[in-house]
Amino acid sequence: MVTIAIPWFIVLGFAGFTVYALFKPPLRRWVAISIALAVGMYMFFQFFTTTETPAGEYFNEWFQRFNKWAIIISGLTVILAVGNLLKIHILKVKKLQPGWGYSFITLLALFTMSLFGILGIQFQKEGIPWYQWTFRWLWKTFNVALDSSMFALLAFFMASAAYRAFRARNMEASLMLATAIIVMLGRVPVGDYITSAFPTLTSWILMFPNLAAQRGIMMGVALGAIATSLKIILGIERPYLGGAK
Amino acid sequence: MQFFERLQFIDRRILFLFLAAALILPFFFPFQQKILITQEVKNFHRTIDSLPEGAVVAISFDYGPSAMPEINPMARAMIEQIFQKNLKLITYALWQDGEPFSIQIPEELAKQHQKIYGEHYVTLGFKPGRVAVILQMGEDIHTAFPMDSKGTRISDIPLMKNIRNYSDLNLLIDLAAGADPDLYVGYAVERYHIPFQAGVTAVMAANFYPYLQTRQMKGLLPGLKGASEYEFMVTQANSRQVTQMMASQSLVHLIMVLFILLGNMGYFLTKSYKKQTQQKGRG
Amino acid sequence: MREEEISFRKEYFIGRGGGGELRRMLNRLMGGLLLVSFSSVPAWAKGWQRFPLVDIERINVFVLSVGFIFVLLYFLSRARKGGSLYLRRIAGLDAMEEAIGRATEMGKPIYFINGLDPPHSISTIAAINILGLVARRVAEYEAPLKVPNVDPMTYAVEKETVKEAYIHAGKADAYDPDSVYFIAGTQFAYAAAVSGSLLREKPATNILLGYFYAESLILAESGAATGAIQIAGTDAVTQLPFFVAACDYTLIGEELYAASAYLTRAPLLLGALKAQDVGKILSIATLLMATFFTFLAYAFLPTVQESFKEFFLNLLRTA
Repeated sequence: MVTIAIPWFIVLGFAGFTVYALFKPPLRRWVAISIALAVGMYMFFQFFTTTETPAGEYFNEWFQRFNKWAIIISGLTVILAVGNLLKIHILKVKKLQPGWGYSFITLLALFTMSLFGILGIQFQKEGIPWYQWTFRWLWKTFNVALDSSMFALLAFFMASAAYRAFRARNMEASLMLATAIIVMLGRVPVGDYITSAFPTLTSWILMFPNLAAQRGIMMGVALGAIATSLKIILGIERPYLGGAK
Repeated sequence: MQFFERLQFIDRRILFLFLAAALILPFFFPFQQKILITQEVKNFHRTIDSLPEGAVVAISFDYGPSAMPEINPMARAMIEQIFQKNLKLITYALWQDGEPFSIQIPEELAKQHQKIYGEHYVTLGFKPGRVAVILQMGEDIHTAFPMDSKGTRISDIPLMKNIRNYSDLNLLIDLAAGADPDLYVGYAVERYHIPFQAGVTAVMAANFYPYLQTRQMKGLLPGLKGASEYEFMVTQANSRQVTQMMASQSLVHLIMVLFILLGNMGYFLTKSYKKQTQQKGRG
Repeated sequence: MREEEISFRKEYFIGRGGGGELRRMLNRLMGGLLLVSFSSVPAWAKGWQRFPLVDIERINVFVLSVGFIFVLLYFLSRARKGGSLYLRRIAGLDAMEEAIGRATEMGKPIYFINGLDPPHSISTIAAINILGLVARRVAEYEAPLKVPNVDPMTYAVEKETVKEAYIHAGKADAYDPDSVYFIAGTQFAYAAAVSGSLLREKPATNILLGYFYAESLILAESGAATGAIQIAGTDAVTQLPFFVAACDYTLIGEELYAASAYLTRAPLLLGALKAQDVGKILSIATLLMATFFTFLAYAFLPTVQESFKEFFLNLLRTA
């Protein structure tokens, strides 16, 4: 009985809040906060319930329902986003603002990829109409090349950032510099040619000092995440209403 | 003394030029280097090697074309080892960009090893939802992936008939360019206790060492270096492509270390020069 | 508990001992303690599954979470009553004001770049919180603000956030609906577009907050090349070194979450920070205790060392 009542309790509680909100402006704020509170509390308790009993299964149905709603809402925001993209770039092209050529290419790419994506994606060329394999062809020819080159840029940026940042200005910076050089040489066979200590030291650095620091940060982050979630559930912090109070 | 000061502020385009040369030259003049195999890669190889014949391995392809040069060699070597050992293979993708790789690579290698689709290997394709998919696979793979990449119902595929969830898999491997192994450790390993290991890009590798120590990951292939070591363990030689890329990587690291040292030399020489002139000025 | 289980436990935990008298005594004492202690939770609690709803395997997490909520509520009520709470200096957040002022003087835009994660990720939530505060200050100064987006959902939320901030600052007319805009749904397309506009527009200030992946350095280096003041903050451990190398200020890990409390000094938010500290002290104490006792067990009590390990693992396990 109790377990069946819980989801209804949440729904009724939410409805109650909404009615309350109708009498107390600003209305929008209250509705949003009560939704966050109700769903947040439900999600919190859901984690501690079992799916092995019928009551638990019933309770967890709502979990799946909320998940599905979230997916649907996030799908709808794509329309919003693409709408904004179209608006900005069409305006730019229309007014022939500086850089309108890029905007034109963006629009062209958007329409072409969407069109062929909707027409269907197929792998082989044999026996399939051209519009079905065109999407794959476009993906392989443009997307793969562009994506890889952007990622490859990282090598250059990493080098220039390292060159600028690694100066032995003080004790800490010198330690960082030494560590960087050891790890950089230890991660490639060349380091082993210089001295076999490089790979051994590199493994040690990765497995111990690196790991200790990472765990420290991870634990702080986990606690911060719990505190932030609670602040949102309890309505102390409201990012969905325009930042903190 | 201006020269020393200039060492500190070399134009980044000069640095880029050197780097580009170091990256490109080995593709024309590749050189083989000694390969030292690290413990995490040995463990990775051993985990697959110790599986009995007919055991089932699932590989998740969670990377896009950007990570292709690093991770595709891993995928090839891994599937090579799986087919050599007569293990069964299931591939799928949680990133839409990973789907083509999850289909092409097994198909190519299956031809070489005369493996039959549906009996020795299955490609399930892409499914959106990441965490939701990982969790659902723990309950029922047949509802997470009702159809394979070719549109066949997976209940009609002989290999998938007796595989319901993680407890029917012997090993789970994640090939990832992002933080997906974190999700696998959190939701699949901790919840369903399945043996797990990963192959990742070098940028992300440092993130996953904590899981090696806690044994939540059996092994790890970190970046191109991991790939080259692992490929060497499986095939006893490196492919030309990986040899070239490793040679590039070695040269680039050397050049970077040299530039960093130059910058520091400039910094110290300028500092000591300034000190000297100040003292002279006082004297 | 069944007879044979008790006898098995006795043998397992207390063992037959060996070596010196002291060791045997210690062995017996610790083993006895363990016998009645938590290490057997999962076994004896199996019967609890009679409760229709509770997942008994997660009861430890539940107890810890509820405990933490109480600590949080305590500090919130204390903060409400007043009373000062000390906060250490965070240079990156102190610089925020100056960075916005600089952009106003130069008449150049401020770029607010949040990471790739959708708005249900804690880092993105923290980033949105800070965006609200930054946007309010920007509105007061009437400096141009640009917020490029990669996630449609974050885009929708941030648009509202910025709008609200302008209304709050009493500058609703100055709000430009296109200041928050969507670029592309994929990582490198976004990185390419943003680094391109950074290089073309040469903004005065770049603020990079949220969860970043491999694109972090592409963005930060492009920004550094234009000479902008850069304030970054992320809890993505692998991207931190890149930000430290390429940016003027970096918020590390949970400093990102603390930012809204730090910037507003709102008592409720400060109270939550204190609760976090208590949580941290408790986890450190647990770790030290676990290390100490496990070390003792390994050194003196070989028969119980495994059960010791089990005990601490069970305590923190999430099934």
